[in-house]
Amino acid sequence: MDQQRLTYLFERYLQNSLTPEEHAEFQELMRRPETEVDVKRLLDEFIHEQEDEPPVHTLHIETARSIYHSIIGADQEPAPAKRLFHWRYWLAAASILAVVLTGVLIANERSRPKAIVAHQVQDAHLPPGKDAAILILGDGSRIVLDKTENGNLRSPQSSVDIIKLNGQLTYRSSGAQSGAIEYNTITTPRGGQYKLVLADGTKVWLNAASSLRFPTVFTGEKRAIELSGEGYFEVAKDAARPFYVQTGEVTVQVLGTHFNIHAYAGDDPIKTTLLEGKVKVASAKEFKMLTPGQQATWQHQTFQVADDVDTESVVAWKNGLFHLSSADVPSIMKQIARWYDVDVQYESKIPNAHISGKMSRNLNLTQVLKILEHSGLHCRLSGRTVTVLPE
Amino acid sequence: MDIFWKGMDNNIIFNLQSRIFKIAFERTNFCVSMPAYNNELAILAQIARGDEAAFAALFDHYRDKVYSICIKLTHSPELSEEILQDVFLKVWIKRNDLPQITHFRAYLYTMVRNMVYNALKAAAQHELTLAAMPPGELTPVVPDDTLLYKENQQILAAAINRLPPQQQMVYKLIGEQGLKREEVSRAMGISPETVKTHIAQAMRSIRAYCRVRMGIGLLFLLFF
Repeated sequence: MDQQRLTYLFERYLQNSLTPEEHAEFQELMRRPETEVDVKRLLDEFIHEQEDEPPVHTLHIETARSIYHSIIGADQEPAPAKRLFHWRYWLAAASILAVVLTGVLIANERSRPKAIVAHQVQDAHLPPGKDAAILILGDGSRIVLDKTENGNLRSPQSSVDIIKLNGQLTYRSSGAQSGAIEYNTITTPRGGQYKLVLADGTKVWLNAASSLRFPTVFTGEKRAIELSGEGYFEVAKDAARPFYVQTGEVTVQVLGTHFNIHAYAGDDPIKTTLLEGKVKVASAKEFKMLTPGQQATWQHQTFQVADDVDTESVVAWKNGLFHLSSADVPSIMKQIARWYDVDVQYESKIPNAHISGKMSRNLNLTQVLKILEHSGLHCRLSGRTVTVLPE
Repeated sequence: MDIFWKGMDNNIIFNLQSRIFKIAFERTNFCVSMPAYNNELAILAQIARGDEAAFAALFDHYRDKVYSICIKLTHSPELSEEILQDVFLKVWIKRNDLPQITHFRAYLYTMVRNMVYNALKAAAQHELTLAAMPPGELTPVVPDDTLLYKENQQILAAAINRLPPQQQMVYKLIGEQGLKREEVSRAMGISPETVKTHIAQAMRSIRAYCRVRMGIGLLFLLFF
């Protein structure tokens, strides 16, 4: 068997540049048992070359988390029999039947200790979000920040002061550093937000349903953090150490600037908006340099850059406002879902309306829906579900 | 808890056409403890004792590298996710053997290589490319060996029954009742995004559970 030919075909396969004939030939060779040793050797060589390269493709944090949990859960035995008698299970079982027979709206499962009943909760107010987040330290311990007193949450593992004051967490290095780099993760739930000051002075505002993973202290040649959800950054100047924010497939590199990243998992494109300074937005295959007022949108595996974006509306959330700038209904409803922790559904066709205006994020949901109603968007609220009606 | 690992090296979960579900955010216990990665032996020893946080650290350290290499070799994000899951599932299930492994990195990448090879070979045998697959039905298809068939059906049923209520409901509505995502979304009063999340997590959970217990590779055909 011609090893050179196999090597050639393998290389072309890797580059995705096999002609149809070559492809058929390659697959024919793969099917033969005698090629196994050689193919495995080619794979070994490739892996060996790649092992020490930084990864080009990365997973979303949430995907990784989901895979991790599926593994940990895999060798646990099925739920013990007594679980079957838990009222919530019966509710779910009965509900499946109800759905099949009548298509009735069924219980909202989200595991909160309060109000998890099938029928409507007459909570007409639905308060807005507030400062709330969970901090996970390097050793895995979790601190519910909104339930913690103000003060120094210093992690036992590292010599870093973590000062909590109301809705803000400030990291301060207290001198000598032990060898280990400790990573913390701060996570906001739906209906939560938090502010963070990192050890280098960088300020981060984290919106609802978001997560930031960062080292307690920045050492080394660069500063790197991971974001999912939405964050507004004011990065402290440090020309010697570029600052990187990674969100799934997109990495934003900055020297010292103010910018907003909108990167919720789901159908949303990843948007990076620059207010001040300069950033480089990069994926595996391409990058864009942004100047203030520009916004890069990552969608369909490519970047589009828009000039002269209304930056005020993009960062209004951190100033306690909903600022809609000719916003379409789905994007408005997504913001509402995250801030008020409700589910959104559409009765039939999604209204084609575009709405502009400002309103406080501190209003109750019913108040917000009333305001939107004046702009022509009609909704029905039932329990924790908002139904958007057609035009 | 008697876990019997059934010859995983030769098995393939062959995935014809699945899309990546972007997972909506939720509160979970994901631990991102990351000591500076210079004491892998200690971490492996802790994992052998069942330390989930240590396993999370190991997973965190290697996940992107493994994923990235798999993508380059298979050109398929879906398959790469599955290989990543399979590799670390094996590490976790066989954690008691970890102290005997002298070169973990080599061990890990050998597993990756074998799984990639099996996937490439299976694709060749079915005369398909991994990157572009036709859609199929959401049913786990178990090969026709009648002796094992009943046992595998029971395992699958157990995997489904242990899902949390919402995931289980979504899975049954789509997989057994044949509802579309929008219909499930309307019926359950949750957003289509949440439906996507639930089905993705349910599939991963079912897959991991079955993988550990079934001796034969499953064929998952997915339809959305």
